[in-house]
Parts: sequence; C-alpha cells; structure tokens
Amino acid sequence: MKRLLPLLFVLGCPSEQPPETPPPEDPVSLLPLGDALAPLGELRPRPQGTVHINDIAVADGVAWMPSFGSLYLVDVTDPAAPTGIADAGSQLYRVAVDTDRAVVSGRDRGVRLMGLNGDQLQGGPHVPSDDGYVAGGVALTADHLLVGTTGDGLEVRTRQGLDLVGVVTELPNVVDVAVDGDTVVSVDREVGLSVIDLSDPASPTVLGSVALPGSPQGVALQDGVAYVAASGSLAIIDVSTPDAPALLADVVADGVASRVAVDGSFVALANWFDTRVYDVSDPAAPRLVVVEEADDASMAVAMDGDVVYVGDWNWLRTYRLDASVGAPDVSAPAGVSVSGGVGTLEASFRLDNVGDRPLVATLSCDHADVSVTPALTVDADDGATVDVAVESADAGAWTATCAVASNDPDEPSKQIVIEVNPEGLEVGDPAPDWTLPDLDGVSHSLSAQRGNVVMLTLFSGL
Amino acid sequence: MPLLEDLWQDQAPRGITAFAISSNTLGPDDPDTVADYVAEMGLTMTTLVDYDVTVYDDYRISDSDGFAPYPREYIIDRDGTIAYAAATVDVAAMTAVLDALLE
Repeated sequence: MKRLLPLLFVLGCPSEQPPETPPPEDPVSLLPLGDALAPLGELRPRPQGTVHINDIAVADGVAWMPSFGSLYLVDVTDPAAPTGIADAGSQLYRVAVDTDRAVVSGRDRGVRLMGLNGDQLQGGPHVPSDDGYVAGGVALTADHLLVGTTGDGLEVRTRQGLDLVGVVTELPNVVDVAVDGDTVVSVDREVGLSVIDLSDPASPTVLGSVALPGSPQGVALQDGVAYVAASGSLAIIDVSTPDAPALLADVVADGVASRVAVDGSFVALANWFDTRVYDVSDPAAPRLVVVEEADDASMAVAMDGDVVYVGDWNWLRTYRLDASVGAPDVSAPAGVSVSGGVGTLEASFRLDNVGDRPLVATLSCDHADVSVTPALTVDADDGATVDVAVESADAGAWTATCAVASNDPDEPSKQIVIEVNPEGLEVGDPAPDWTLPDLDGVSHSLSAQRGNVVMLTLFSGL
Repeated sequence: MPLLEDLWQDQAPRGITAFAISSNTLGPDDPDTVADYVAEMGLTMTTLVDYDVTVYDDYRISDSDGFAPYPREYIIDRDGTIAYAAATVDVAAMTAVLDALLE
C-alpha cells in the first residue's frame, strides 16, 4: 500500500490528493540520532479494510481518531497497549478534545459534539452539512468552539449547542485552527496564517496574517509560535506580535506534511512518507531528531508528553520519544605529522566519540593531495581509526587542514592540521614512538621514557 | 662515534637516557654483527635494532638530501618533542640543548 494512490481518496477529500510519484530521495543528510523513537504499541482498529486515520487528539487517556472508516476511540492509558473502546460514524475528518467534550468535523458530515460516558460514545448537537457547508479543522477555547470552513469563514460557536456566535468572513478556505491560552491562529489556503482576535466573540477579527511557503493542511500552537504542516515543508511562525506574524523557519520536509503536533521542545510532523520529529528548543533553528519511515503512510500525529501517536491507513502506532536526546561528541588530535619521503605517504589518527549518541562523521580536506577516510560511524564511547594518505611531490614541507563534521549540527567541525614533511623531522615535531629490541631481545619503547630527556643516535652497523 | 660516546659519558650522570639504534636498509640485521660493531666503537649506551627500518623512515631529517646520513643524532625532551636533530655529531650544539633541557 505504501506510496500507492489509495481508492479511499476517491471517496475521501479530494483536496488532500497525495503526489502520484514519490519525492526524490532526501537530499539533506538526515542522520537519525539513534533510537530517539522507541516503539511502544500499535492497534489496527479495523482488521479488514482500510480506515485512513485523518486526525488524532489525546485527552484523559483516550485517543480520538476521526477517519474515513469511522470515529475510533482508543484507550491509551497505557500507550504501550492501545485498546479499542468504541467507534461511530464514517467519513470523519478532524477532532478537537478537551476535558469534558469532543467536537468532530467531517467536511460533508458537518460538525458534531461528542462525549464519552464510560465506554459509550454519545452524540450531541450537530451542525449538518446542508447547502454545501464544509467543516475542516476545529478547536476548543475555554468559552467557544472554532470551526474552519470552506466558504463560510472561521466560525465561532458555543460549546454547548454549537450555536453560531460570530464569523471571520475574510478567510475563504480555513483548513485548520489552533488555540493556546488567549492566542488563536488559523491557516487558510488563500490567506496563509492569521492571528485572530476573539475578545468580542460576536465580531472576531484578523489581527495579522502572513503568507505560507506551501499549502497548509494543519497547524499547532505553543508559546507564541505556530507550527504549520504546509505540504512540502514545516513552516514555523512567530505569532507573539499578533498584528505582524513572522515566518521564523521553512523546513523542507520532502514529503506531504499534513498534520503537526507540538509538546514542549518537540514537534511531530505527519509527512505522508514518514513521520518526523524536530527539536524546536530554538524555533528559528529546528533540528531534525528522528525520522520514522512510514510502513504505510503517515497521515495523523499527536503528542502527549513524550508519547508520539502516529496514524496511517490502518494502524495507530505509539512511540516513546527519548526527550533526553543526547549528541555525539568528537575528540580528535589537533594535528598529525606525515613523513617518510617523496611519494605516497600514509598515516592515521584516532577519532573518538566521547558523546552519548552514535557519531556519523564526515571528513574532508582542503588539499587535493591529502585524502582521508571520507565517513565513518562511531558508537558512543568508542573510537575508530582515520587513515590519511598524502601525495608528496617533492621534499618540501607543507600543511593541509582536514575537517571532521559531526551529525550533531550544534557541534562545530573539528579541524585537524596535517603537517606534511616528506623528508622527516624537525625540531619541535613530536618524536615518533617506537618499540625495538635490544641486542638481548629485551623490548624498549620511547613512550616509556616520557618524563626523561632522551638522546638518540641512529647508526648503521654495516 | 667516539665523539658521541664521550658526550654520553659526560651526560649520563645528569640523568638522561640514551639509545643507539642500528638501522639497516639492506636486509635483516644480524645482532652479532651489530654487537661486534658496537664493541668496536666502544658504545656503552643501550643498543636497539631497527630490523624493518621503520625508525629510519620515521626519523628522516628534513634538510637531508635524500641520502641516509649516519649517524643521526636526536634529543627528545621530557614531553616527547624533538629538541635537536642533526646528521652530524656536534657535541657543542648537543650539549647546549641538553643544558637547556636539564636546567
């Protein structure tokens, strides 16, 4: 099923057509920092047939998953053992959940207030999809329900009866909306991201808008920063100045980003071909932490603390995110001396990873006559030998610089000076070590003499 | 080589270590031949045998002209750094370096 155009899309929402050809292999060097996503559990709500999970919201130990197959409720009190509770309806699209209620939208199914009483799923007031009413993303504030629509603006409704209170009419195609405290943002296919003023719910207004780098499909909001699944990329927007939201980062994700979730320092992106987790400690410089290759297609994502929920065609999968994601740490000598005459010279040095994540080192030198092991992987607390080969055309001494780049983007590359002195040693060079037998066969080594002044004479006995 | 032995005799009481290394680029050395040579030269320092001439290669001196000058003299400081390297036995120069290192 992976990367095939599913029949369900014909029945589903045509605006979410995936590309028919897979994107090129990721041109960015994605270097997963170990097993940052540890698999916990999985659940297939409908063992036969596909369901196409469209959204996931988790509250009070229950995952609400609207899908084209049904609305599935899953007990995730123990995220390692997700267990089905109930299901109802079909052709459902988005969900918003808080402590005492859930609101589910279904595009051509309208909007319905839902509740869970024990294991009984109960339906409440309903806004039908009469007259072409198309409901998209939904969100709950303390006082209201917000509904993004196509053609009917961004609606403000009551939480109880879903009665219409006010509308932002200038947003023609609102696909999602997100709330964090008093801040409300929407994403619109034509307008981009907007910050909404709800102080007068009867007359909600747009405070400011910013264009998005790609067609938005989902938005998440935390601490004045909005994260938008913008098809080809993850767009990160500073909304702390409501009348001037500003794009902080446009992270090309090489997929079809459709849903996004944020919790603490991490953002999870459902990206069709994979699920990506970014460290957004610095929202202007997000760091890719891990990529979960989608078995099927990653279409929905949620985060709850360090648990990441991923929904695809058939499965809900849960992961534990290692929030203490560490980093490799490169230790290498400052310099290497190479000598031994004109021609091809060989030397080596040790590269140690003194960090707590695997190191994927990429090495390069600034001189055409110096080559090094181009790349190597070193486990945490381990080391490897880097081979250096030098072509010395003549006896003159020269230097080159080789750089060791880490998969940890925060670690600056290490510079190693290669001192090429084809005809040998000069005062100030480290004395090459040796271990040699004496005339009685007893071994002696120079390194054992560290701390002593050593006088050395080389002679020929013949 | 007698010059070197004289220097060694002068410097040994100051606590330095000395090695004489026999390198031979012509083939496997014969310890007895080396021993005979050492005896003939009257060397009393520890004599080592560099059978595969790696030390010979590692300790090339940069201003040499590609020949294999012998003897070659080196002084290595307490940190393992070359403090003196020459293809002649220059007793005055070596003594000056040793004096500086042993101050």
